[in-house]
Amino acid sequence: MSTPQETAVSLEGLTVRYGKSTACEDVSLSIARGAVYALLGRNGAGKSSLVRCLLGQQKPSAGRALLFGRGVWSERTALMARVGVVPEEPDAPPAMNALQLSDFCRRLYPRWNQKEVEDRLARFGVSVRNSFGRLSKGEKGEVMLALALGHGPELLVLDDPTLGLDLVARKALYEDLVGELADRGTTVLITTHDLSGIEGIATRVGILKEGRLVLDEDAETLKSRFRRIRYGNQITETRSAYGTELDAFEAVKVKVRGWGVDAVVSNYNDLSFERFRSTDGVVDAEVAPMSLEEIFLAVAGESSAEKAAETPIAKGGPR
Amino acid sequence: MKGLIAVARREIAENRMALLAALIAGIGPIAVPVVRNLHGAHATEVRSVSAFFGAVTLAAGFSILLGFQTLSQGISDRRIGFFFARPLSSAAIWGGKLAGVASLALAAALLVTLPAFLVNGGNLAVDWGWSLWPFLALSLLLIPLSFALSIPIRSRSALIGADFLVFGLAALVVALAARPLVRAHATVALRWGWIGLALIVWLGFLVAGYRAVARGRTDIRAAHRAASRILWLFTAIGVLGFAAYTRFVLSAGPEDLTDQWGETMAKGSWVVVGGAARHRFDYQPRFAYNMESRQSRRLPDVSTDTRLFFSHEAKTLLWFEGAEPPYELVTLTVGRQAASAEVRHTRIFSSSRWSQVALSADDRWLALAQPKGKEPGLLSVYELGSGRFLASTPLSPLTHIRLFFPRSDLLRVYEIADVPGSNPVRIRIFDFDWAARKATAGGEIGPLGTGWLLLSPSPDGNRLLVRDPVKRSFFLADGRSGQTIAALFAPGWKARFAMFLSDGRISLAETNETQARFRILDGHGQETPGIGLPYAETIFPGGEISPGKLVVALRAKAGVSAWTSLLVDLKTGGVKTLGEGLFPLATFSYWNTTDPFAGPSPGSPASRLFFTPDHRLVEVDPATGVRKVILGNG
Repeated sequence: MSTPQETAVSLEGLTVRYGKSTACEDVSLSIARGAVYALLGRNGAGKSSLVRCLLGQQKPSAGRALLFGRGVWSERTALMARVGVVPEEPDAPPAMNALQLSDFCRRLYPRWNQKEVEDRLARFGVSVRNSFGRLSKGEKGEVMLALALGHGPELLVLDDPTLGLDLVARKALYEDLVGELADRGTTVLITTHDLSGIEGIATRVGILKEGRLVLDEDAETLKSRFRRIRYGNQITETRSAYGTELDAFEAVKVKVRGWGVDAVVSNYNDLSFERFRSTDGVVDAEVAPMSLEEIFLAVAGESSAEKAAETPIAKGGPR
Repeated sequence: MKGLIAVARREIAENRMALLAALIAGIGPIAVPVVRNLHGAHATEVRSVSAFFGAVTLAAGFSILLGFQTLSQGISDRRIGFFFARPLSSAAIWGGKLAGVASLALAAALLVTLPAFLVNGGNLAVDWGWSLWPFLALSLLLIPLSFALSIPIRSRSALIGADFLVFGLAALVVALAARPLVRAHATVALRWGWIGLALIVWLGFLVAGYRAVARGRTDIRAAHRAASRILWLFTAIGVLGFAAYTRFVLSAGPEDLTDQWGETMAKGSWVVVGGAARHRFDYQPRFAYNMESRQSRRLPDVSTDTRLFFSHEAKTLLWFEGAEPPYELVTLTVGRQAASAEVRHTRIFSSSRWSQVALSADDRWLALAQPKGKEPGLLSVYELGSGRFLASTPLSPLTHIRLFFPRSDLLRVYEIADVPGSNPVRIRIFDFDWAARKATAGGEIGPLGTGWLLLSPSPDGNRLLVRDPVKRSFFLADGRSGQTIAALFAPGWKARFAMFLSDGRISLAETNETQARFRILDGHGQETPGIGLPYAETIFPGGEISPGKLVVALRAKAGVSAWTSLLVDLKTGGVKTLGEGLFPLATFSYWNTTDPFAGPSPGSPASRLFFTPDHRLVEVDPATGVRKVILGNG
C-alpha cells in the first residue's frame, strides 16, 4: 500500500446516501501520485457524488475522502490550491468571459500562470471576450480545463469532461491532458463515458456499478486478463446451455449464439486457453483482446435489475 | 479576506446591470416635479422625498431579491461548486456573496438619489428630518434573512414542515409571553423585548445562512438541514430569552419600585404602591403592601388604569378586571397582616371600568353606579359575599355619580348633572333603599359653575363640604337636603382644601399672597381658633397621624423636593416640621374621592408614611422625626 506521501487520493469506506437511496456504498480506493485513474460507471452509478465528496463539496454519509493524506472535508480550502477541477456541468458564472474568469482565479492562486491560460485558450480557439454563458458546451469545457490547469495542479479531477464535446474538441482535450501529464506528472482522476479517449492514457481503472466499486485495477493488468473467447460447442444438445468447458475461466459474460458461444473471461492466460481449446467438443476456439470499452460493457453493462430480468443461462445444463 | 473581496467583486461585476437600472430609475425623482409642474422649494421637496423612497425601496428590493437568489440558487443547481473548487473558504464564499449583494443594494440606492441630489444642488434633506442611512442599513439587514429563507424554499424537503412547526410553536410561546406586557400597556418594555428577540432571530438567520454554505456546500438539502438546526437553536434561544425577559420584567416586586408616585393608597397597615420599576422601562407594577408584615400582593398594573377600592376597615380590596366589557368585580381579602392568595371573582359585572363603587362599612353591601353617557345609567346594589343582585334604580343621563353608605342600611347618592359645554352644574341628592327598592329624593345643590368640583361628605352623611368651582371657596351644606349651612369663604384667602376631621370638626386650609393658615370649624361651620402656617403656594392634607394631629404638605414653590410636611396639633395649635422634602402618602387617598372613609384611619401606620425626593417610601416617627425606609432604593 502506498504511503500518504505517495498517495494523491484516498477514499475510505465512502458512502453517500440521499434519503433512502444510496449513491455510493462503502467505496475504498487509493490513487498514487502521477497515476491517471479512470473511474467508469453508467449514469447514476454514483461517480459524480463520489467526485463531489472527493473535492470536499459534499459530506459523505459515512467514510472519508483524503487528498494528499489530508481530510478534504475539513481542509478543503488549503487542498483546493493543489487541485484543478473540470466539472461535469461547466459551472463558471455565466456573465463573465474567459479572461475575467482567469483574472478571478489569478487572485486566488499564488502560482497562477495567466499567460499559459491565455495561450491554452488561444490554442483551443475559444473566444475569450464572449461571456461564459454564451459559449458552446465544448468551449465551456475547454475554458474550464484551461482554468483547471492554470495553477499547475498536483491533482486534476475531470468529471465527464468530454460529455457533449465533438470529436475535435475531445481530441484537443486529450492532447492537452497528455501534454500536461508529460510536462508535470500530474495525478488525474477522470470519470468518463469516452472510454476510447482514455484508452491510452489511463494507468488505472475503477468501475462503479450501482454505487459499489466492482473493479479497481491497473489498466494493463486489467486488459491482459480480460479476453473474449469464441468457440463452437459440440457437447451441449441445446443452444441455451453450455457445458463445463469454461470452468477454468471466470466467465463474466456468456452468450450462446447460433454459431456457438461468445464468452468474456476475466482471468485469461495462455496456458488455460490451450487447455480449453483442447477440451472435447470445443471447436474453432478463438481468443481476442478487449478494449477498455468492451471490458466496461462486460463488467458494468447490465444492472442487477436488468440481469435478474434476463432468462438465466444454466452453467453445466442438461446434456 | 482576499478571497472574500474577490468573490464580492465578482458578484458586483456579474450584477452590474442593476446599477445601470438604478441610475435610470434615478430619473424618476427629477421627473415627478416636471410632470406635475412644480417649482421652487416644493419641487425640491418632491424630488427629495421621491429619491428618499426610491432609494429605500430599491435597497430593500435588491436585498430581498438578490439575497434570495444569489447564493441559494447556486447551491441548489450546484453552480456554487465553481467556488468550492477554488481555495476559497466557506466564509469567503458566503461573506463575499452577501457583501457583494449589500454593496450592490447600497450603490443602487445611492445611484437612485444621485440625479435628484445634483438637481437639488447637493441637497437631499426631507422636511421631516429623516436620515436615509438608517433606512438603508435596515434594508441591508434583509439580505441574510432573505438568503436563509431561500434555502428551505429551494430545498423542497419535508424538513420545511418541521421548520413551520418550530416557528409556529415559537410564535405561540412569544405571544403567550408577550400577552401580560401587552395587557399592561408596557410598550417600551415590550419594544425592547421585540428588539432583543428580533436581534437574536436575525443573528440566527445570519449564522444559519453561513452554516448552510459551510455544511451544505453543493448539497441544498444538507444546507437546509444545517440551516434549520441553527435557526431552531437561535429561535429557541430567542424565544426562551424573550420569555425570560418578560418574566423578569413582570417579576418586579415592591422593592424594585423606583418611582411610586404612579398609584398609591393607604389604609390601615396596607398601602397600595405602584409605578416605574428598576430596569423595567415603562412597565409599572402595582402592589398591595403591608408595611408591618412586609408582605405584598400583586395587583393590576398601573398602566391598566384599574381603579382600586379599599373597604372601610381595609379588609378588602376591590377592582374591575378584564380586557374588555363586561368587567368583573374581583375582591382580594387583605387581613391585618397578610393578603389571601386568592382573588375572588364576584360575578358582579360592569359595562364600564370607570363605574363608581361604594362598600358598606360592614363590607356586606356593594353599590355599583354605571352611568351610560346619553343613555340612562343604572344604580345597582349587590350582596358582596354571594354576588346576589338586590335592587337597582335608573340614573339620569349625562351625570357623574358619587355615592357612599352613611349607614349599613342607607345609600346616599349625589348625581352631578354635567352636560358638556353646559353651565351651570347641579347636584341632585337622593337615598336609595334597596330593601324597599325605592329611591327617595333629597335636595339639590346648585347651580354651580363648571370646574374642579369637590364633594366631601361627613362620615354620617349629615353634612357635606362642597367646593364651588367658580368662587373657589367651600361651603357647608346639609348632607341630604343640600341646603347651605354656612359659607366658608374668607375674603383675601384662597381655599385649598377642606375635610372632616375624625372628631367631626372641619379643617379648612387657606393661603394668600404671604401666608397660609388652618381654619378649624365645628360641625355647624362655626369658627374656632385657627392656626397660622408658613407661606405656601400649595397645601394638601396628609391624614391624621393620631386623632387631632393632622399632617399637611406645603410647597412654597414648584418642584417635588420643595415639599415640606408639617404636623399640626389641632388642639394646641402647635406646628412641627416632620421633614423637608417629605410628601404624605395619605394625600393620594383624598384625591378625587367622595369617600368619607378614604385615607388612613387616625393613628394607623399608613398615616406615618411619606415619599422622599429620591422616591423612597419612609415611615416617619412623629416624635423623633427618625425615618425608616419601607420601600425603594432611589
